Amino acid sequence: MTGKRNQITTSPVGSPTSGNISDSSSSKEQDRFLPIANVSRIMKRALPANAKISKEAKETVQECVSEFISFITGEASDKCQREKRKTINGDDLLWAMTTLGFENYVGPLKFYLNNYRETEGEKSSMAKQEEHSPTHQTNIDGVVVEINKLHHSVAATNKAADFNTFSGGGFYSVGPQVAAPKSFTEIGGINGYRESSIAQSAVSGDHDASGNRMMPPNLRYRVEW
Amino acid sequence: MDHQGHSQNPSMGVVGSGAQLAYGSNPYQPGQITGPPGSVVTSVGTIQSTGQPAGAQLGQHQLAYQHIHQQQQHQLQQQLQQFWSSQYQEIEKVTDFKNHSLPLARIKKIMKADEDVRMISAEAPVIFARACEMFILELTLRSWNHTEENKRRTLQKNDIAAAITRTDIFDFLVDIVPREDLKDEVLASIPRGTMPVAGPADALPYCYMPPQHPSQVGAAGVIMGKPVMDPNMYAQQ
Repeated sequence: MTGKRNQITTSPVGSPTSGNISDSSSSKEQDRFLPIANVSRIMKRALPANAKISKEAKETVQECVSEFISFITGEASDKCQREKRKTINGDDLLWAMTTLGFENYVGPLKFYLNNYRETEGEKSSMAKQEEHSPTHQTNIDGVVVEINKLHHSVAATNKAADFNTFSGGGFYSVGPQVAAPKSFTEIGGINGYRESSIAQSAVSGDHDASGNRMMPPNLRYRVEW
Repeated sequence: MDHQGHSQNPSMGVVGSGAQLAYGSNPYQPGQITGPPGSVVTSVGTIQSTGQPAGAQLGQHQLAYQHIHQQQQHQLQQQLQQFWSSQYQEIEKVTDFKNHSLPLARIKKIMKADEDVRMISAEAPVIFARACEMFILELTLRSWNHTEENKRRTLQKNDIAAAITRTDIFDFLVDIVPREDLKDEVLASIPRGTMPVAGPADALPYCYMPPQHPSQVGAAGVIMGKPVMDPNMYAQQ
């Protein structure tokens, strides 16, 4: 069962070490930090033209940024656990920053987040319209059911992993399959819908290697469907 | 300057004693960590002048140091304000959320390094990409402030260490900076820290005179300066 889950979890990204959390400690040293070139470029924006930056300083800032991400993420994660939620979203991060003393960052970032949601939200809606199946409100369970069906897996223990890995797949649902979720409460439906929308953004908005690798499988399934 | 540094060596034992005092008072002073530099320099000037009884010189040194540091701190605050307001302007221009200055996949991987983190929404790495930019810019600005204080044009590791030491919200980074660089910052502060410790005997009489002599306001500065230095000594310990 554990092995099976690992397979499902890692296959989309095509790289076992990068996809498996338990293997994160064995990942390349460089993967723990953001690229030094990007960090260096940003640092220069804060300095006079004739300023120079030692390599040691760049490396130190690299470490500081990773620590910053872990620091904020840890606080946001704790909040999600207290509230029995599984997904860390933008608002959780903004809350964590406020709590940890980075109030100055929250104002601009709220503005940024709103812009992002408006822009990506539109793309998400357009993507949904292109689907063959009728648009129905669905919830997390509905999405999970679809995902499990796509990958021929009904094991309950795989639900979290499936959703996390193939969240985009949920959007290729067929009318009859969505009927069941309608029985849930309206509130649950709204949450599920929001979750699905966010999940879709992950597919449409993410253009890194991971995102690219996710698309082909979905397209293939869609054709077969 | 060299002479001043030399004269500090014999007082190392006293500094040790000061560190113990620092431990007790530290809980009450953390909020002032950012402000202290000005006060510290004021203390240095005052104590130095005490060696030369001339009251006029006391005032001059005090004002000179205050002025220089107020100018520096004012400049830094101005830069930071400019920075924060420019963030709003920059963000308004953003229309494409696909081109980030930092790779989202890497950010997500760093977030996932924490085993407790289970699922991350698509917007989280996007927000972090922007937040990290702001973080790098702020840290660099504050570090550069230290570089300029030392008349250099190359940002070095100890400048970052100094910025971390001086900024409350960067406390979580203290472990990242090796003790060497942190020690540099502490050592740089010791000469100033020694003054207040050595000064108690001299400062005491001033405590009784404030109402009578306006110039004794400087004495109050000395008193205020001592607790300000404590956190640094504590850090050294």
